[in-house]
Amino acid sequence: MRKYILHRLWQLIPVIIGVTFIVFTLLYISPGDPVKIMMGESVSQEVLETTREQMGLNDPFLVRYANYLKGIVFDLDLGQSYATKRPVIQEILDCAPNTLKLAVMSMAAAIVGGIVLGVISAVKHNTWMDSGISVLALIGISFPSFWLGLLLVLAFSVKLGWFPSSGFDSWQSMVLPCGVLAVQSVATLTRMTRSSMLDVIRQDYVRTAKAKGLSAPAIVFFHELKNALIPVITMIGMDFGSLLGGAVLTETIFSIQGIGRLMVDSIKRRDYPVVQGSVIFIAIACCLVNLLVDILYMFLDPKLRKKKV
Amino acid sequence: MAKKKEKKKEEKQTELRIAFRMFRRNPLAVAGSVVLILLILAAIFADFITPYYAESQNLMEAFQGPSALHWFGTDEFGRDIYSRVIYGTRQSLLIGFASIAIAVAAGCFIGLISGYYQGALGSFLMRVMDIIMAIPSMLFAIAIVAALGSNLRNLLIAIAFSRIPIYARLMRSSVVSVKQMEYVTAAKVMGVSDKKIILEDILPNSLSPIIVQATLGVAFAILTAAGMSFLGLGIQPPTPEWGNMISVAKTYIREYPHMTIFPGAAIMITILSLNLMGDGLRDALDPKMRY
Repeated sequence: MRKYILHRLWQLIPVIIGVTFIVFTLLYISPGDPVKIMMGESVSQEVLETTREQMGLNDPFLVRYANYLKGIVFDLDLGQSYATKRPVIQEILDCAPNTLKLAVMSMAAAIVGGIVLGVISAVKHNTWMDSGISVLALIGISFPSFWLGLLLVLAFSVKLGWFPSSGFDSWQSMVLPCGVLAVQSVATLTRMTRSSMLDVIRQDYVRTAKAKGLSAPAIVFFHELKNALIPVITMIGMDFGSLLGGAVLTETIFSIQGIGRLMVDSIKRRDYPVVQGSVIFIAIACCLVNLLVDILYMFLDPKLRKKKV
Repeated sequence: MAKKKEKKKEEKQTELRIAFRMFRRNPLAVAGSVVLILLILAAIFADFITPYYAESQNLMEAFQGPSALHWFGTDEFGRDIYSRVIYGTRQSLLIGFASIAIAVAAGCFIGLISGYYQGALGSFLMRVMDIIMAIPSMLFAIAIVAALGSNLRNLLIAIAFSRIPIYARLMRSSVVSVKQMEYVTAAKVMGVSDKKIILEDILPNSLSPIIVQATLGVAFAILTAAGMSFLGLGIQPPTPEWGNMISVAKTYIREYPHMTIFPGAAIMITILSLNLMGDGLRDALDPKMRY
């Protein structure tokens, strides 16, 4: 087990180096002189040259990348914001709690909602309930989240006044953003759980369980769901990435000070180091979540446990 | 040899016919396809089916609700929202289909190479794909647009680039499994060239999952493009695009919700039709679903 985790961590290293390389290259080719962005267009040539030298901007590309990577590895240094002059990591860490809260709460809602709806839909296969849930799930994956967010604000904030339309400090203010972010994942997980359950329901061991005279809930929970969850868990790991992508839109709509909004604001200010740092931070977070999912997967699937340990 | 080829062709035709019949029998998939065809026609003939130019302003008629004159109402500049939504179809469908076409072409090429020649080059290409996959698609697309600037071309590149790994992986796994089939080994033994084997035996037999994924991919690309335009990182006003129309409309949502509702509904209908079609194609092209 430990060997497997270490092996997976070892595999993560080239991926993370690759991510930093791609994102760093993107920043490198972006237009505009960083010094001019920081100090304004009217800066004198002399100051411009000195600052460029001080910041190491005159070094060749690979030297700059090596220094950047060294900074990340040894000092958790993602550079300095052009706009606030604060370390990028500080800017990100200030915003991370909100994004984390938003993502974790939405994911939790999506997992509960998706699995429950998927199971109901599969157990009541070919009934009006199954059709209803399937249609809802299809509509759910087709809803643009930003549009849904605005419609919910219109209905629940403007018309009914039940929830605030912005902020993220009380439970009332969390309902709409988490709901909006969760909708697509609920829909995806419902569809996945349903099809996975339908595969399992036809298996011989389920027939055996029925023949043994087990009660219907016992069959669903201990025989069907346990096995049907294996592919669903992989999906949850993969979905976490798109959830963090979607958080950019949700944070913008509900004015939540999270990493997504920090990124969009930074793009508009041409504060590229913050954009670069945010993408790297989120990519690493996604890699770690996927690692956790893989480990969880091993616990659930005895076949894998035997093979990999 | 010629007989064998003819037989193979015949089998392929029957397969396609069965798939087409399956697809036709699925009312939801047919409905999705019909809506999509109507949307494509609307995009092509936008000039003929819109009463106003998308960008023509009339401040005297700003913020009007839906009426016989302006079916979807007007916006802050008095522009006809119905005409803008119809013209917006062009941008969205163009981005959706073009970006996925690029992603599929590049992804299939990478997947074919790395699946067929499983050496150092193959595993290097797949590692690169793993790296791109590690960055959430939407964030990667945002980062590319941030670096290159926001316009139609860059948005296309950004979305295409972020989707390449999906098709590369799918193609690779298909190629690896098809490669082990006896007819490929037979072709190799007969001395058929790699290029011919890849193009005639492997590619056609690996296409089904790609077609399904591409249909769903177009839906994803349209949603991403609209989301990015909503954030101000995609197509910029005054060009009519559903995402940027909603972005402007959100300022006025309390007083004039019609400005938000119609472009959003257009996105939803498009995505829904693509998803219905994708689901139908998946069921029709998967032999397991037939029995």
